[in-house]
Formats: sequence, C-alpha cells, structure tokens
Amino acid sequence: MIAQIHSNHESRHTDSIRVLPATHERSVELQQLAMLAYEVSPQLAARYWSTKMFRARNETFPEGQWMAVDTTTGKVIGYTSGMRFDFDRNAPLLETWERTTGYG
Amino acid sequence: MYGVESFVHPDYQGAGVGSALLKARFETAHKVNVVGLVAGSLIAGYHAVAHEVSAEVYVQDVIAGRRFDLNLSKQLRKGFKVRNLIPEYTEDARSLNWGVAILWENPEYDPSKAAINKMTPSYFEAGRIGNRAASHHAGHNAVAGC
Repeated sequence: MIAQIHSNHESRHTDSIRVLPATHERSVELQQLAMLAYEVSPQLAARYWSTKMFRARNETFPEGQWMAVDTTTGKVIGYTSGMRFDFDRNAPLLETWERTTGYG
Repeated sequence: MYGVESFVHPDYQGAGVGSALLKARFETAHKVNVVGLVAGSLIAGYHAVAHEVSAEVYVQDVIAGRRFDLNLSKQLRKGFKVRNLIPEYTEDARSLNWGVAILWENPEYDPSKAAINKMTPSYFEAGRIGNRAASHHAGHNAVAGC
C-alpha cells in the first residue's frame, strides 16, 4: 500500500518522491519553484535563480546539488544546494549569506 | 560544506521532501568526507514575536523546546547545533534578517583521508533517498529555509 501524508488539504503519495542530482537543464523549473517557495516576483526569481547560477553551482560542486521530483507528475518539487566551505569549528560564523556564497 | 539554500514546493510541505533533501546532504557529507555541514538558518517565526523577545531569547526558547520555529526547530531535530546568531545575515522579512549559524558534525569524518573531490556516477544513480514524514532542512531555506 502506498503511504499517504496529508499536506495542504491534499494527499501526496510520498513513495513517489525521488531525490536526484539537480542539473541546470531543469533550471527553468527550479526558478519557478524558487519563486513559489520564496514568494517573490517572476522578475526577482529570474534575477536570482538564473540558469547561469545553477550551471555555476553544478560546475563548482555537483555533488552538493539535489532536487526532489514527484515521479507521478515529473515535477520538480524541492531543491537543495551546498558548497564547499572551509570553516573553523571553534569560531563563530558571522558573515552574511551573500558574502559567504558570493551572492549564490 | 555550507548549506546555500533549500526550498520545497508549498503544496508538498509536510510530505517529507525537506527530510529527503537533507538526507541527500548528509550522504554527500559522508561521501566527500567533510567535517560537517554549516548553514545559516532563517528563524521563520521570529517576526511574529519580535516585539516581545529578542532574537537571542527566541533562539534560546527554540533550543529549549519552548517555542517551535518552522525552520530551526526542524533542523535541531535533525542533529544541527546552534553556534551563534548572525545579525543582518540576509534580507528576510520573517526572520527580520537574523540568521542562526548551525552546525552538524559528520560522525564519519576521517581526518586521515583527504576530502573526495568527485563522486562516482554510481552514487548519483543511487536513486530514491527518502519518503518519510517530516520537515525542512538546513541551508538558506525558503518555505524551507537555511
């Protein structure tokens, strides 16, 4: 039996969710997803989540880029990005997100 | 490894997507042999109580379990620890620009081994990672947030 979890008044077949490497070929979908998730305008989403940015992330650290796909629809429904980062475990992290990531 | 950002489609909140993505992050950390994961968590619920408590008190309350924060509470549940607060971390109305530096230490980190730069295609083909109930993740999360 397929497990279902109620979310936002709908039932989701969570067994259909798969996590795959995020490729910049899906950047348009990822941009649309970011727009929905962050509740920003299409213009702002286009500026911040560009194909160029997704490509740069993939080229820099492909192992750290993942997306979640609902295999029943083929839709990208989640995304996570990581980057290599040297840090001192004993020192506070005080930099801004923009400075640490180079604006993404 | 630094959590740049994570986000989940609003219609899939609570469906385990965030947990599945975080699991992928943890597995990456193991595979590439990094010390741990660092992220700036956006305290999504702070704006609602900022007139009552400071960000420091809010975070202490979340750590103690006296408050639930959509992002930070879930990250702490997944094993992240709070390091410090970051004022003006990034522009975010919900957290009033506060970030909380969080750290998850990789229990499998082996300092005798260099970090692995590239993983094999077979790892990428591993496929399904998660489908359990739960939360968001670490990184600069949006509807998620770190």
